[in-house]
Amino acid sequence: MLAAKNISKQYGQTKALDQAELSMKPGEIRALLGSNGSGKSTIAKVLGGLVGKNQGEITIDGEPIQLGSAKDALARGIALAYQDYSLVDQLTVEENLFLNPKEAIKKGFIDHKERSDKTLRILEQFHISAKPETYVSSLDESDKSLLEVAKALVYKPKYLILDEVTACLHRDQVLILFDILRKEKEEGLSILFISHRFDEVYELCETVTIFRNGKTVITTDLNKVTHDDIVYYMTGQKEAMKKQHQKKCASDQKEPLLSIRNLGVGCQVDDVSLKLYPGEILGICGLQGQGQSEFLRAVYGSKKISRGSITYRGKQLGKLSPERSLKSGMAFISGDRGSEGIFADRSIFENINISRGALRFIFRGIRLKESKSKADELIQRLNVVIGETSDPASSLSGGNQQKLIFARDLLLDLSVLLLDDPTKGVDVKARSEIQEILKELADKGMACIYYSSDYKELTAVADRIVVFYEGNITKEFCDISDEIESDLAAAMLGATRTEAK
Amino acid sequence: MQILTHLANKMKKSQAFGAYIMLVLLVIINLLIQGKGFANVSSINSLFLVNTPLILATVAQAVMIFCGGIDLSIGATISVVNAFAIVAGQHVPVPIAWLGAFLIAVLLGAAKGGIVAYLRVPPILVTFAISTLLEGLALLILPKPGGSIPSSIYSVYGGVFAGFIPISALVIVLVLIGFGIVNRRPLGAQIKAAGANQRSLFIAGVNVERTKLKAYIISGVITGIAGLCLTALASSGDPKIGNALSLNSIAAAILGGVDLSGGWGTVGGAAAGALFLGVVNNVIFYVFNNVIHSSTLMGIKLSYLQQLLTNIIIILGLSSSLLAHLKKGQKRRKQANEIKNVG
Repeated sequence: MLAAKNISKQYGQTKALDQAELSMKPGEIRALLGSNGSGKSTIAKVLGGLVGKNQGEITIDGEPIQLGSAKDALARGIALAYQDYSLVDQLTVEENLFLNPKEAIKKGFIDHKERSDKTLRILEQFHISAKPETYVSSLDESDKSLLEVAKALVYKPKYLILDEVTACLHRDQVLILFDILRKEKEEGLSILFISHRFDEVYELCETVTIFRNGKTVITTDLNKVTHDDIVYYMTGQKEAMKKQHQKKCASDQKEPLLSIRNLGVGCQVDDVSLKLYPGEILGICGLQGQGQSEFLRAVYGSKKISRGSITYRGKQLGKLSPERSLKSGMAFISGDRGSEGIFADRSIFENINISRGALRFIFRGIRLKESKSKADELIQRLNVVIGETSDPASSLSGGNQQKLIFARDLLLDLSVLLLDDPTKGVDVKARSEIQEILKELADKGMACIYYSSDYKELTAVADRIVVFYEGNITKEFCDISDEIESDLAAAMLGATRTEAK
Repeated sequence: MQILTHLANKMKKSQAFGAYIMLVLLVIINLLIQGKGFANVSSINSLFLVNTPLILATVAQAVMIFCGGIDLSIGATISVVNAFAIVAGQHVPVPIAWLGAFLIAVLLGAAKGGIVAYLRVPPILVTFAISTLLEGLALLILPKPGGSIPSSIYSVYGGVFAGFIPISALVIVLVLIGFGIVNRRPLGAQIKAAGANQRSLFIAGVNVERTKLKAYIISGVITGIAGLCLTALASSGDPKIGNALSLNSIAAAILGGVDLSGGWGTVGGAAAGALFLGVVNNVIFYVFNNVIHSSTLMGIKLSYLQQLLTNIIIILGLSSSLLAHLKKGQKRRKQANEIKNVG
């Protein structure tokens, strides 16, 4: 049994873990739940030897162990699959799986035949459509996620920690993975499953540990707690997702703000036509990779459009670029904060003012005092939890970083906001706050196109929902209520299409 | 025939495919221009003879770039090896002097690697500082050009094996086989992982610092051999003899399809890139000496344009290999999309 007791870890001023406790038993699949910033990933990294702990003790079968590096952890039989992958893009599948091999080695030299046989078997087991000598960079996200798990299993661990590995997987791949995990469990493997998806947790796990603010709140059997209990333990408050829909359906609107005709982008977006009216939140629903991300980027101008036209405020747009879009009041917010949103090393103040500054003529000054007071005002209004405005943005949690990006765009007098899964990896509380901000903005006449990977979020906030499937809009919902959720789920899987056939 | 198609397939998959194609094209052009003047043993021999130091320096540079580094001091290291081998050769038996010079290169590799890996100083700074230091050291050992080596060494290095294989080419082959042995071990992939994604290597339970140190030592060994080859070629000492090789080897490595951001490329490609530089010089030299002579155009003596033309060709080669890289990225992404669509 692997047990972590009283683990504390501090990053600068932030306490990531505060006397956290966690244990893993052989032959058991345990879920680890918690909102963002609750320390789930941190404890995983501590157990994987990736970061050191400040306090506490880790024991295996009662015997205290030291984990100074990933090497130590692997030697103790603890392996991790990371949400942000630990694969080397420039190497092949087999080189990645056997980067530090204990098998397929003869007198210090690689036994190429054995290695490729073993790799083939693993690829088959996980249903990954790749050859052993395929470079990892050419795999898509879902295959990479599976490969990440496969790589952890190659070390034949006794304790396996999976950090949000299902986030990019299709449903059928999830089932394949779960089958493999159950089989490994039967053979005595102990698995810790970290996830945001409650359904999957209920499907796979027997016991659950819940973290809040770096502390362990409860460890219990899953069948003893309901969905609502879990949300309560995670947030410390009852789920409060209020819905107040002002009925404004598309048909009785006059002039569309943005109208898109027959838009195509490469092979990802086929033929999409859309109209967006002022004050409307238009939800886009769809599985990952159905073209919605490319569509939003194309409208914003950061991706080239291949076909079709975009009319904005009655004028057809010629050349599209992010700069032009921002100047004309159209902004884009990505859920991928790290690479498309935040400047992690720069200060909070700079992060808020970057777009505003960039859109001005180069010699036109910015009034520091005015900018500062505006920034402070926005931080207050959006309820961003910060230390000082001069702290680096990386000192904030994911949800607060996302709110910071909202603040950046709110400085610009927007009329259209394009959102690509902005609440990805954001905890429940910050999520509902972001939704409140959106509704408030929509009431003032701003229009939104909002893609979310979670359709429950869309039914909570959107006035109208369109479903993307394989680069096309396959269905449109005007009347939004809880009842359409099952229809949405079906439409996402392309069900309407098969019915038509 | 079957072997040929197998070879062609393997080449196509190679990360240095573009470099091989460029080299073959250039050789064909050269053959068309020079004909028998190029395709004979003595001219091939002299081509390898002159270019072996650069080729080996490029291979050493490539190993460095694989693990995420870059070495601006390869040239100065080679100068020190040359100066030491010549000066020590006057006091102790020549083999011992040469062995000493070789060991100095290996130690310097270890020192650079140690500073980069354990003190975490960016490699470009470390090697730039060390290169200045070594340039001074070479001048200290051998203040002005001079000295000589036993003529037997030059005649062996300049000779041919089995009637048509240049000994210098054999040295290159031996070095490539040596690195091939490293590549057959897990270390090969680990070095590339250290350059491409250190965190992954650490997560796999490999000591990243030690891997980098090993790569730098391997690079030092190859640099040492390059220095001795240059000494054999020059048959004398010159404290500035190798200095130009630092930047040339980087250019040659890029020509050979090595990605400066680390983790991508092959040593064979790097060698082909360096040979490409050598053949460009060869063909331009021939054209200017035999075709253009001292003709003038609009009052400009055309032979003055030799350097210019050489470098224009090199720039074209560099941009084409960078373009190939971009295209490969696109192709990889396209493949990914196709897989996605099928799935």
